[in-house]
Amino acid sequence: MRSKLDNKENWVSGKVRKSRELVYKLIDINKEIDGTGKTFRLGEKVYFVRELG
Amino acid sequence: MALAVSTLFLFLFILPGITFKRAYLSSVFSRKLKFSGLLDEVFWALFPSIIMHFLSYGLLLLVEGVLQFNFELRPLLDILLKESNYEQWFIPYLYYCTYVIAISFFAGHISRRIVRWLKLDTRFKLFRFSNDWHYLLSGEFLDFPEVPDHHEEVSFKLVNVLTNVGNEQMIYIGELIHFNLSDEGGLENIVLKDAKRRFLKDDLIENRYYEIPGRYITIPYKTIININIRYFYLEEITAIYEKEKMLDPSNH
Repeated sequence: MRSKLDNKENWVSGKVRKSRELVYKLIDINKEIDGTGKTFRLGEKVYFVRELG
Repeated sequence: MALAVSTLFLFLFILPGITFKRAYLSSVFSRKLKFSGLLDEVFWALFPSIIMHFLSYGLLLLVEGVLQFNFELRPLLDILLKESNYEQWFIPYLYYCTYVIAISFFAGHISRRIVRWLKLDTRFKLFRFSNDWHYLLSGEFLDFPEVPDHHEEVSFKLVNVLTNVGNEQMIYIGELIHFNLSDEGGLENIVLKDAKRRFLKDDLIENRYYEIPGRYITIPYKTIININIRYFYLEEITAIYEKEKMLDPSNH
């Protein structure tokens, strides 16, 4: 089953308060992020990130 | 004498156009006012001037009825065309030009705000302001017709900045949080948050980045060789993720 998490169209607006850990995590995984998006876990929180443009 | 007065009158006539242009291009992302040739400069001073005179005169006629005063433009224009009665009409002409210049100043600022508000500068090249750095670093670049997505979606801007430090080249990577444009129409500096750095020569070393103790670092543009910028959409989805996990039969 295709997960709702894979559907990038579901993710519209919403800003996230970015901790240093979150920024470092994004720096570490930045090569894996593309236009289709990527879901990752940081501590107890789960984030969705996709590249724009 | 007559030539000097006529020149002064003509200069005052085109001054509203210059004022309009200055006001329109006065924001930081369009401040660069380079000289583009005499003919071009005269045209872009004269053309808005004529429009500003029409606009101002229209406003005067509108206000004339409300404030109960009488204004006649014809005698003033006669001075420009006929060389007579300079002393008599110079002060009224000066008043009139000051009024038109004031209208041009506000019209320039309002026009820029309208262009920005309607996003005409990102949608049409004709309205685009001169400093490309603004569009690139703010993410408004994404609103250009040829680029997918929209800048409202940007929640994280990751930059790789290659810089010259002494005789070595250093790469900074971090979140772009702020930037300053220079008065000359370029970039002054960029501010990164939670940045890491490494020397370019350490390209093949694992865990090559090392952290910078402070949260914010400013990098002057004069040290920058190139900038790689990536725009990300980021959202916390913990609740949705947990809910989906609970509903997914494969988890049981």
